[in-house]
Amino acid sequence: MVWLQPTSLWLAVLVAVPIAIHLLRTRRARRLAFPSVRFVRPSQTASVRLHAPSDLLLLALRVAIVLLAALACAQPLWITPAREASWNARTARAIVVDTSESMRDPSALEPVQRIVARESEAFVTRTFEVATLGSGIERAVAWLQQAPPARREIVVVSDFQLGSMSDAIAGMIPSSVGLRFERVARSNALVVPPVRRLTTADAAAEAYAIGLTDRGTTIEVQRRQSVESPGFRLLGNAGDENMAAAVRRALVAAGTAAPDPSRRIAVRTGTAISDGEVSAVAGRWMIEIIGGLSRDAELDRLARSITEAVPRAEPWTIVVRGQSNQPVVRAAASDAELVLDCATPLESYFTAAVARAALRVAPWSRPVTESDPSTIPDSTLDTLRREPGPADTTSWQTVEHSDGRWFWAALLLLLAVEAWLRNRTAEIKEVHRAAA
Amino acid sequence: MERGAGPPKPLLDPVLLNAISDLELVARVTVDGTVSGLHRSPFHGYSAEFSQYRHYRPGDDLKYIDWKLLARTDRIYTKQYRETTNLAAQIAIDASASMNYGATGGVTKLAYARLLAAALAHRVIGQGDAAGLVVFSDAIRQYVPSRSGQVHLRRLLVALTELEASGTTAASPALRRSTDLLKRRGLLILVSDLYDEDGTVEEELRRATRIGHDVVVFHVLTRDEIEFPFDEDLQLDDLESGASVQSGPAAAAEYRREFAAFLARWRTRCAANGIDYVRVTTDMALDAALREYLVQRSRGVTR
Repeated sequence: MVWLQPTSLWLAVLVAVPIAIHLLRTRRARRLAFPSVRFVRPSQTASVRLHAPSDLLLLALRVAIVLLAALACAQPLWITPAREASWNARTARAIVVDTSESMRDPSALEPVQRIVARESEAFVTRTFEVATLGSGIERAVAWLQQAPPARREIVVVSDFQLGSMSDAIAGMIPSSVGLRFERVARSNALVVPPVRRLTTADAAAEAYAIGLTDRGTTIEVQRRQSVESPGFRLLGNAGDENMAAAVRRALVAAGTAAPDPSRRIAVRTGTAISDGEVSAVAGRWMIEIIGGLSRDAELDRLARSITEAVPRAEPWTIVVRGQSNQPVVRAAASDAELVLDCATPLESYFTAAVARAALRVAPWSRPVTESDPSTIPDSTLDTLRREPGPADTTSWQTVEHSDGRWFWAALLLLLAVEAWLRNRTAEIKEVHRAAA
Repeated sequence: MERGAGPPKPLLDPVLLNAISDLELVARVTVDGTVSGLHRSPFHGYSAEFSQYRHYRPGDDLKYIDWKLLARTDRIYTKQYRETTNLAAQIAIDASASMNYGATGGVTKLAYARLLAAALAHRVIGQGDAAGLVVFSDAIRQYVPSRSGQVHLRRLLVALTELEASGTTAASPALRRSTDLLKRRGLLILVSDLYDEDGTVEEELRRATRIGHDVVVFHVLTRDEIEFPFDEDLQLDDLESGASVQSGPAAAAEYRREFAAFLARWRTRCAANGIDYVRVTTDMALDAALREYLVQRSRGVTR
């Protein structure tokens, strides 16, 4: 048996109280100065009665009650094989969730929640959301040491970017604590980063493919025929196709940003799109582009020298004004495409500036900053994975409930017996007095 | 009477009387309350008993001439009486340590004996007789000769007031002294708890009766001593010897038997020697204590 509160065992010295009361009571018969003492036969039964078996039994009961109270306060715990087996049948699990930059992608949220929900079905769990796995594992180990006795395990939920997990970090975990990894999204396949610049079909393009494996880093330059970036059109009057292509090539040469294919933009001059084919701008990305254009300082500077104008008509929205505050750029939506109508001709520098400005402010649905695609391979993680060991019986100090309730129950029983015996003894004494 | 004050105490309740510091007042009240209604004083005082006739001699007191006899016989005769005998009483009062016991809420035996002796002295002197006092414990502690008169009464009452209980009990020297001091037929009154049971006390009392004195014994006790109402474990310390005894509820029955035998022995001794024996307890009203004795004495049935 072990004690969760061993200092409470000092309460056992209180057994001296009932013993002292018993001893004092036997010596404190009332004294009375009496004139006719010679007629009193010394009562041997008097002294014997004070030490009657019933009184000794009461004393023993009271001593036992005090002892039981002291033992119960010390919170005893029997570590039996059955108890050890119950400890081994349950698991205390710390879940370390990686919340670094790469894991903040909304697409990772649902898988993480699913994994955490599944792993939370254990005897006792706690989740640690950390940006670095090392600090999370350190906190998890500290928590497990305070957890009630059970098999202990750490589950790491991450995309396991290279460097996030290492032997040193795994070494912080005691050997009796299991370690398991749950990967979210990502694979370590070779990834070609998307093109970020406007391209035309008649230009060659280079792409760098970077691959990181456990054998090292590979960088492959891929040259391929460029494709025209989808999502951007330059429209003019009939016969302006060559001019449109030339303007496009000029934009490519200037390193203009490529559009998001899901957010198409068309810059037109002339009458390529009639008023009946357009509708009012809708969608946040269109409004963001319009706002960006209206705030573009270079565009505003160029527009001050523009004397042309575009008609004002519904549902067009005026974006940029010219020299005389006349509209020089208006916007509308056509079949989910943002149409920017310029007053200047296709070959005008202003028209190219409008196109370039629109492409620059167009928000990508995906972050521009590319996340590091390098992750720790499964084979490496497998070398760190281990099963949880048996429950640590020496960690009984963390037990949530002691066996003190049995001592309290026994104490209550003895209290009832003591009360009954005390009343019974008093009745017997009363009968004796009446008989005397 | 105030509501809730309990039943009124008798006028001669010893507790009330003991609270009165003027012992003369107490004695007068006691005696007046006791003897009222008695047709005759039980204490024979100035006794002019007719003895004989003799011829008149010149100079005889004319009030002693029997005029009826002169008328019948034409001779002058003088009545002669026996010598007038005033009563002399000697009160022997026990002031040993055992007399210092009193029941809870009551008076001590000594206080009760003091009231009793004061009442007796007041009565005796009040009817023109003489009274004296002997205070004893293990020896005679104080002696006041038998005299008459109010001044002497006050002296007796002062001596009674200054009584204190101490020492063991040895009554026989005091009884012998009292007996010897009674030069003529007198009244010897012993007020004690009679715990001195060696044969000398009885011997002295018997001697006093043989001499011709009237002897009356007031056996003063408390209710506790008679009934032993203690049903708990006690350590009893003897007031005189200091001996200590453990006692329990089982000892009560045997105590009562022994004590009843003790009382019976004294009653038998007194009855066998023609001694008046009156047992009083400290919770008895004084008038009840005295009246019983005085009435019985006047009928002559206390023996």
